[in-house]
Amino acid sequence: MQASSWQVYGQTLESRLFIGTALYSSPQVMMDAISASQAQVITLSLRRQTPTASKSGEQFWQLVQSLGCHLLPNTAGCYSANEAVKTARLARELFQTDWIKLEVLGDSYNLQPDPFALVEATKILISEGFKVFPYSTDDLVLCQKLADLGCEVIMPWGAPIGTGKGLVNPYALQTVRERLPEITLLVDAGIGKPSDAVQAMELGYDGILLNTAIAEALDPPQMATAFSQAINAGRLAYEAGVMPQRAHAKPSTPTIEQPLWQQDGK
Amino acid sequence: MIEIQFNGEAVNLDGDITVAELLAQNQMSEGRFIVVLNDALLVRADYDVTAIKAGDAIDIVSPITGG
Repeated sequence: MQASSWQVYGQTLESRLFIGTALYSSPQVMMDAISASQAQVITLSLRRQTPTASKSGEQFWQLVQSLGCHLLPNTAGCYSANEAVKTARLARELFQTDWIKLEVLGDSYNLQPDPFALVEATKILISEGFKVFPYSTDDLVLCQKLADLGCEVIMPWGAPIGTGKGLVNPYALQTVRERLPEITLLVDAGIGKPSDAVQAMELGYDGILLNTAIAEALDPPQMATAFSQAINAGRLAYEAGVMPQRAHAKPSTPTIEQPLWQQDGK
Repeated sequence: MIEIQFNGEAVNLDGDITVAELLAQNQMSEGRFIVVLNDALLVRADYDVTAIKAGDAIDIVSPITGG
């Protein structure tokens, strides 16, 4: 059974997994993993050519095109709003899309987004017609500001990029979900295991963006399948409605007319 | 002879060539890339008519993997 389809900036998607294209041991492993993930959106980036890499960019592009996925270029590695805006403009020209995963980092130790620069860059890019997918922290007020600026999608982190720590602050993520019910929310970064993805989806997140957890698995295609199924399971559970927790036990088997009821009853 | 920065490296050119000619010399006439001239995007239609000057910085920007 497949969870419901969803809309991302006007595009209808079946898969709720956005997958990165980096860190795979070979282009073939990348292709096998993306195929197994059934993702319809892939992230990628742009860099100045070097003499040794002048052909690899073209080879990568040919592979990407053969996938037929929506492209979500990123501004990875940018540490100022100005730098991120310039990179986004180049990405739009290079990839012919107005989708941009906006990354503006504030700290090189944990790659934490700079909330102030993120808001500044978002404001500029939306005014230029970009469809911004901001990579943010799980700070509620920051997410509200991004929504107020016109972001239809916001992507709070689960944990710092590449750590695989899962959802470090589920309370904050749940609060963002509850306070921004109209915004499409993806957890981006920090997901380590399929169970982390299930947890985010059960909170009501609309999707997951991940890369390292699949690319650095011993068997990336198999892990991609595991994440695909986990994300679908988490969404199905959310749509089915999870039971409320209780403080005390409640028997599931009826106790009325129980035989031998009078013996050792407490 | 003029010196430019090409993909971050100092390169000497014989002078009086266009961006299109520079790309052709480096087997870069086709493919998925954009040209950034002195920090500004150069549209493809201008490759043939843009003459390279001494001190110009030209970068060829291509797709790469990303997360």
